Amino acid sequence: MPSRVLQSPFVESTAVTPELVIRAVLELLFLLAVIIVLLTLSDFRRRLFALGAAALTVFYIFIGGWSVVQMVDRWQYDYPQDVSFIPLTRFAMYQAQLESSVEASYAWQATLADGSERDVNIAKEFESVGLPPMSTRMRVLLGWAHDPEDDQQHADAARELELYAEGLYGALSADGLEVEELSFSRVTGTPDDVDAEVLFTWSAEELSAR
Amino acid sequence: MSLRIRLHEGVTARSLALARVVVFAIWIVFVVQDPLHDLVFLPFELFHTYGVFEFVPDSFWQAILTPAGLLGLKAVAILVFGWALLGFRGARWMTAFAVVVGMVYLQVRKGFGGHWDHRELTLVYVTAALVLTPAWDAFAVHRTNGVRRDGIYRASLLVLSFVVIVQYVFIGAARTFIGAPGVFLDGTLQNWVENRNLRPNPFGFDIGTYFLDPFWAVPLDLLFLGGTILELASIVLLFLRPGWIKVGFVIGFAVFHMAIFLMMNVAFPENIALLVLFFDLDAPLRRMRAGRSGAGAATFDPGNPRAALLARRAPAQSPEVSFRAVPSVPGGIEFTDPDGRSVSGRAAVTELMYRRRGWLGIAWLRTILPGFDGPLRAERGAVASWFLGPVPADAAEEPTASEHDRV
Repeated sequence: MPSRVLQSPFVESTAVTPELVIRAVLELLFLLAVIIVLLTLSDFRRRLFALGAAALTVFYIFIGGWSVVQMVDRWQYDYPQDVSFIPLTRFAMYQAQLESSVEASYAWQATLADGSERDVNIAKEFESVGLPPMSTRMRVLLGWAHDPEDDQQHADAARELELYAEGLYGALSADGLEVEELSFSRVTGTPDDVDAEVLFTWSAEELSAR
Repeated sequence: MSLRIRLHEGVTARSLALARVVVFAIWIVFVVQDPLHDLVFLPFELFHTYGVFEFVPDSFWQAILTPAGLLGLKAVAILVFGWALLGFRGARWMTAFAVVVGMVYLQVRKGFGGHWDHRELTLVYVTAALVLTPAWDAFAVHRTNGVRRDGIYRASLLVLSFVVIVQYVFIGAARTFIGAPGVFLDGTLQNWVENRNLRPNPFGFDIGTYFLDPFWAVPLDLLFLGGTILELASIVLLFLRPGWIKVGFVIGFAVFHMAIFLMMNVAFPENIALLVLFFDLDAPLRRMRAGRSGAGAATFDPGNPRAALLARRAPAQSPEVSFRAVPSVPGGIEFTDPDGRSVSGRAAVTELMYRRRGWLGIAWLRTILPGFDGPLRAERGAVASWFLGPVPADAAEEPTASEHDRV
């Protein structure tokens, strides 16, 4: 079964709408309330005095900076990112309502020298990257490739996906597989009734030329 | 009104040191099992830097993203984390360096993805917080010392725990205030589960697919709501004494992480391991030592070679225990503590082991083994004899009177 990823604008909305602003203000008020209660109505502050003024100052600056980024950073799931606050980032996951599971998905496939075909799991081949970052990149590139806003976006997707194909070709070759062709597809439908549309195909000669 | 912080009351330098060991052990496991070298196949053109790393020249990343560079990064990371874990001289500075190395390591990994997720950042922040603490006052090759303020170990552990709490509160608040109520309705978690199961993932768990029937939509929504309430309520951990409520919180977090992992293939192993920071890791050791270091009296059967051997050798390591030879002692040897509690046989041997420096762990292990309180056999078993030989003949000799009366 080809793998599928979400291709939907409402995964992690970054559009600054009036509703988002109101919700963000409520979030800020809640966190401020928690901090105020902790610092004024409990002995938490006094318990930390033993750390010393210098260490406490650093700690408060860190918590303050982290809190500001938590409130401000709404772009941590964007690719490419216009602004990033790393080493600080907003901690948030599964914060958007998902009205349906899947609209489109992607799949990598390899044709081997013996004519057989096999699915290639890019998340496994490059496990070190981490599943969420890799999925974000593939999701965005799939969107650019299939529904580009302009020709440049489609060209960018083609270029980046070819680079990933080169990486996959190298990794599969290192595993002893003789790859003749690699392809990247958009997959729709349901798991029981899959409709795969090949968007890009690269031959071994193209991928090994660099 | 003043709410009283209860977390980490009574902790010691050893508690903080053990927390340090846990943090760096997580790092070492994280780095050792990471297939970082696979990144060498990806063309550099795909690599993106984030945040402060955008100011680092490309040539630095190009040098790292080579077979030698990736191997070197991994080796340096293990060296630095190992140094800080074991507490060699300069470990505190090395920890500051470890934060930098850890961040560079993560940038190398995530540079080929589409965003920088927060998975390992809690571990980074906890590591950074360690720099502010005297975490090398115990269990360190080079122990730091000096006059410490009262309560500094508790303050240190509160800071480490607070970082973990803040991440949960932030995530829970983000979901509640940005996504509620819709995020908890209409099978949202079920849709996330289906989505996460269908995209390529490195683990291949398909447990989530068993919960895609419409029947599970409401239970999963409730699980999601429950997990979010747990995240928001995590601040309560600061006010809890050790007990089942705190254990319940921690188990709840672990279950939530494991559910996400098994059902959605999104792993947070570092965060699960960090949950132990809510406990006083020295407490079990203190409990084992408590009441185990005082004086006691042992009577042994001189006709039992193994009991006699113990009576000859144990006094050197347990000078506060008196030994007396009495024929036909039940179980071969009997031990009585100052409160008059008496045990015999292997249990008595374990009590003696508790009093030996460095044998505490083995003694504790013996207490949980089946047959712990069995009688002391006169001879070694067949397997033990094959490897170790019989009990030395001189052990059968009756100890001298002076040895009997040693106190």
